[in-house]
This record gives sequence, C-alpha cells and structure tokens, in this order.
Amino acid sequence: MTLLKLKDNEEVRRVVEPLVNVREADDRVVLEAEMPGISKDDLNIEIKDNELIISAKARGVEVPSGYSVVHRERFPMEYERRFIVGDTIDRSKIEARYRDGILEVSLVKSASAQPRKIEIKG
Amino acid sequence: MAVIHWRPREFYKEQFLDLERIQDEMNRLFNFSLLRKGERESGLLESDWSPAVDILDSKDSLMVRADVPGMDKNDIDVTLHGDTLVIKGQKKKENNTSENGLVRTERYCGSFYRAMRLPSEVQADKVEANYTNGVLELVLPKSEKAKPKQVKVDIK
Repeated sequence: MTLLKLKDNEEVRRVVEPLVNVREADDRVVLEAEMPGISKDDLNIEIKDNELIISAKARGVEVPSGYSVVHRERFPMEYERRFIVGDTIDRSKIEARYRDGILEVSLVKSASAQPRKIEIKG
Repeated sequence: MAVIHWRPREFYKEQFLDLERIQDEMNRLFNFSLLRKGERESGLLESDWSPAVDILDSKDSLMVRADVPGMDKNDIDVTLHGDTLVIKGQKKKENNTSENGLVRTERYCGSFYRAMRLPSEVQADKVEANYTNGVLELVLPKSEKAKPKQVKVDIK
C-alpha cells in the first residue's frame, strides 16, 4: 500500500470509488468499473456474505528515474467499491477481466432466476 | 506554464441536467459570436471532460501521462501544434435503453480534450505513444537546443 505523504509523519490513504456502468441481461449482470493504471495482479475481487467487493492496491504513479515533476494531477490511490449482491446471483460463477483500465465483472444469475419459457401442452 | 485545467467528470450528472442545458446554451452562444467557424472545433467548452495529466521532465525528454480508461487506441488523437500538445478523443455514447441492458451509467462517454504548453521544445517526429491499462503515456524527446548544456566558466 502506497501512502501519500503530506508531512513527514502524516500519511493519508486515498481510496477512490471507481465509476461503474451496470448492464443487465436475461442471464447475467455485468459491472464495468473504471480503474486506470493498475496491473491485473493488484486487483482483488471478493464476495463476502451479500457484498461484492472490488478493490485494487495503490496504483503506481512513480516518477521514472531521471525525471522530475512539472505538473501533477494523478496521485497514488487505492480503488474500492462495494455492491450488494442479491440471492439471484450464482456465487460460483463470477468471472472478471481487466482490459484498458476497465474491470469487467460478470455475475451469472442462478438458473431459477433466469427467465424461462413455458411450453404449452395440448 | 499554461495548462488547461483538469475538469473531472461529473459524477452525479442527472441532478444538474437543467443547469447543464443552460450552460450548453450559453456555450453555444459564446462559440457562435466570439469564435470564427474554424476555431470552434478547438473550443475548450466543446468536450465533455478533460483527463487528469502528469507532465514530467528529464534531461533528454518530456513525459506526459493521461488517464483515459476504456478507449480504443485508434480513437485517441495526439497532436503537436508548435509547443502545445493536444490530446483528444471520442467515445461513443451509450444510452440507457433496453437493447444494451444498461441499468446504471456513471462512466464517462463522449469527447475529451486536453491541451498543454510543453515546458521545452521537442522533436515532433520522434514522439512515442503507448496505451496500457487505460493510461496514455507519451515520451517526447527534446530538441537539441532545448537540452541543458554545461558550460564551464573560468573564474579569473
């Protein structure tokens, strides 16, 4: 965890809630969270009770050696956001991928929660 | 150094929609009366947001990094106009319709624009750009005359 130093002995942890888009289809719910500048290994997705937690360790905004800062707006920060997950989600079928700064979490609905076409007999 | 200020995306846009419409209308009026047609495109008010940017300086080159998550790299446009670097791009707007199933949209879409005056002269033909994990990183080698020179001065 990288901390932003304000004074010598004072450190502030910056936690940012990523912006998300949520899509819902018949069989799944997909979250897309904007988390630019982190590596896949720093991402953490867990489900605890009825909460889905997506988080990432502080993203690196290191200054490469030889460089000095002229202007800075991008700061080290952690990402974390929690979502309440309903009973209709099958917890064993959560998939995630990270591409171009977007974390996509796919939550599959359990079979009983999916729409079902009922055949008419006779 | 002149830097166009960072305008973070509006997180809770819906509450300000009415106000925004008035603002749009004002912007349109200003663009109409104060700028000639050719300049309208580069107007600062035309974009939906501006990404956060870092500018770093070294002996041989400058480095510029910008957070532009979820872009197709072909939709990012980087240009140098003299000593001004312009980063802009466009992402297709997605509306909340039943077709794409969007139930919540916080993520930005639309156009972004950022312009900054570079602290030293660079070789425009040797600029390298990389897009990884949603971060655009540009390395701009300095022109020979912009590099610091060490001159030994004899003290008599």
